[in-house]
Amino acid sequence: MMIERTVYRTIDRIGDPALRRAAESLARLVLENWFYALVVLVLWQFPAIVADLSGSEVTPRRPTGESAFWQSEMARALVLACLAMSYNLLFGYNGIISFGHALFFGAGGYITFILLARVDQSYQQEALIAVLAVVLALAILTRITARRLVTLALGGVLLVLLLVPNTPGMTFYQAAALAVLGSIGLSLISGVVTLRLRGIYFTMFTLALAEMFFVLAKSGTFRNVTGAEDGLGFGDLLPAALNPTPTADGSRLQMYRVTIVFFVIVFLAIRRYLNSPVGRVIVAIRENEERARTIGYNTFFYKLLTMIFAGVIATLSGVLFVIWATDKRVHPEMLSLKFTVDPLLHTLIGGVGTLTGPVVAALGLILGETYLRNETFTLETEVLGLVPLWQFAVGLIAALLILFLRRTLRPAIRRVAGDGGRWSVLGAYLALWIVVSAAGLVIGGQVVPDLDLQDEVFDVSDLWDLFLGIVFVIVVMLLPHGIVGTWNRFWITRRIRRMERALQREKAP
Amino acid sequence: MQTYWTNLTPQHRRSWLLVVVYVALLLAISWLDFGYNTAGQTVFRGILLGMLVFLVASGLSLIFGLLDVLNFAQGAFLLIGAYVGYDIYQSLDASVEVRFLAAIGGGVLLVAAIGAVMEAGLIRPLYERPIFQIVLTFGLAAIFLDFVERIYGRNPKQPLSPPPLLNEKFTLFQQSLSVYRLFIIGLGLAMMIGVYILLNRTRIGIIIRAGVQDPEMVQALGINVRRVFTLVFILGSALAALGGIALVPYQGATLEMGNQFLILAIVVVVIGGMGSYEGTAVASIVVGLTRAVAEQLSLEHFDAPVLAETSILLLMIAVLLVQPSGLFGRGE
Repeated sequence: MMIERTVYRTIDRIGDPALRRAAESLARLVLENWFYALVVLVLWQFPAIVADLSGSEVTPRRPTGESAFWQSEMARALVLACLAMSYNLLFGYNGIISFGHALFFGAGGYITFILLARVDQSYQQEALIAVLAVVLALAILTRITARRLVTLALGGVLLVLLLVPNTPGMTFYQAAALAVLGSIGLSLISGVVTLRLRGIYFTMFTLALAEMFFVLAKSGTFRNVTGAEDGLGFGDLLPAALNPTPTADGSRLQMYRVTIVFFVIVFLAIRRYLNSPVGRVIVAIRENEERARTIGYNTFFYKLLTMIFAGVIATLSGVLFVIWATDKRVHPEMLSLKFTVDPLLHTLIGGVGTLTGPVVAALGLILGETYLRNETFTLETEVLGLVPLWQFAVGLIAALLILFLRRTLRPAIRRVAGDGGRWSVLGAYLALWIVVSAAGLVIGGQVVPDLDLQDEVFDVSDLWDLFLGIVFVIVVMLLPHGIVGTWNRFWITRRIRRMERALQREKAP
Repeated sequence: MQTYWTNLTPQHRRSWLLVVVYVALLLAISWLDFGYNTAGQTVFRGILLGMLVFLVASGLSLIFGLLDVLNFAQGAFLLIGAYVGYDIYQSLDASVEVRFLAAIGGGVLLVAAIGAVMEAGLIRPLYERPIFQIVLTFGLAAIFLDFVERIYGRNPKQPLSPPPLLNEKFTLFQQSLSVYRLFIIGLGLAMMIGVYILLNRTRIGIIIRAGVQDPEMVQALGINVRRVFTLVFILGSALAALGGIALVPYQGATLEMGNQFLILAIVVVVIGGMGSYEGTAVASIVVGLTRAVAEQLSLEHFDAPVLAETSILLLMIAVLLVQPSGLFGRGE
């Protein structure tokens, strides 16, 4: 903050207005982005750092070694962070609670690789044009009046890209571009149908839609298209530039870097979108849709646009996710509720409506999970060698129970404590805790002696979901703004307090 | 003359007609396509499924109507009820009838207690943040599922045979069936009527219905709405647990059961209209019948169960397109 102030004061002293403006924008660019740039730099060097720490090679000949492993894990985490960011765009910034986001994620994987692996070479051109025609027709039929041009321009660019085929079949890039078009079409169809529904009905509808496609992808009826529960194998259909199989020439490292570039582009695109006039409107819609409509905005259009944008990002993330799949298969799990719930959790834990929150939570949780799953821990039956673990747990659970029930308990506690002030209220809570714990210990004492207590070796992989759930409940209950949101609020309140104090000091003499 | 029919809004009258026509269509299709006996069996299966779904869905609908919380943990309640009931039924040292009743009582009471603690401790502080409530129940559902998995293991439990009184056979449409199926249908009907009476003929029911309309006004009249909220939450979770226990002698207990019934219940509640009790009751029968007929259809004509799996969701999409607030929901 000191640095910021000094820099801007120095710039203010520049005489030439043009020069000053240039210096100011440069300073703003640097000051606002230096941290992000640093993070990207660290990510870029991440394989080398891991390699140094673990003594493995960055580009090993065989798919072994810490560095190669962590490259793929980090890449997967980044892809899921992109998914979480796109979900946050819908949920955090536009207030749309969709439980069908996995549909777009899965669409990326499935459309791309169905086109590549399952459509006959001779029909691929026709398939391409058919999908294109459908999407353009939809774009016109949905009558997006205000900025239909955006959609059409996007379609046009992709059209040019697609209609310059250089091989008899379809290239990977064309298939991916078609997947993006398909995702736009999906957004248009589902958006036109669903966005007119209110609140909870919308959520339910998206859930049902995504669930339906999940069932379809899993069902044996379409085995020759989707591969049913085994997934759609695509083997060697990936282009050389995007193949994460670790080879000596560093193709995995290259793909890792492509993933970082994708991540940065998504981040910048979402930030640009939110800082644009459209972004302001969608936040206004989140705050009060009626009012936004009364002012004269076509809220439906803005919501649809956001859905399309978030859907496209999710689709591209899906394509990258499939590329990074170790078994080279598109699994129906991609369409399951898991890939709606995960970004939702990341958004909530990181901070709803913060730009970096979902990224922080996604990276932290996914990398943490990978790390913990590869370790085993010994759970000692005694805490600090004093109290048996189960007694400790009983006490802890009693304390948490009282903590969560404090609102319900308050009247009773008041009655007990009388007018004794703060300390007797505290004492009453303490007494309650002792009573509850003692009851728990007595009941537990009946059960526990029968068990043979030993130091237990824990395989964390079983416990992870439970741990995640508990973290999640605690965050929802105690940190409603998420990690990044709470952090931001802390600094903002501090700054406001300082300003207030400065004002008072000015008034005082 | 004031009758039920004249008191309905035009939208609800249309919905009733739609339901009657749709069900008649389903019955006609199944009769013409499967023949008399198979059609009868299918319809019986459909009603059975509808009753089971109703037990989960009625809780969901009541809770949503009064508290505005979509309780995603409802499926987990069913799961806990089923597993705990299974445990008690299997391991208690008493005669079969006592064990059966103890399983029902124990499972329902435990889940009701969980529901009470959950409402009072976790959901109540979040009434100012409605989105978080939905998400919280979602997270809790995952935790409950995990607990059940850790305690009872991943393997599905085989169905236990019901008490001998309910295990006798009877023949319906040339198919020999256990009386237990009739028991489930009876249980569902009893609950359907019981909750209807509770809602329409008792003081607490009047308060609940008033709370659905306008909780603040009820509070202003000097009634502790929060306590009624807790009560309804307990009632809803207990109904789901009852459904779970009723399933044990019929299907056994699996970990997927919770989510399967949750999805069905959500579809039912959406089709029936959020917070509408009669809507939920009608919609559960409709959904059960649809599912059973679709299953039979895909069995007879197609090789794969796709139609059966997607029929419910297609039905929901169709209803929402025709009436965005469900069949018997309050209009916009």
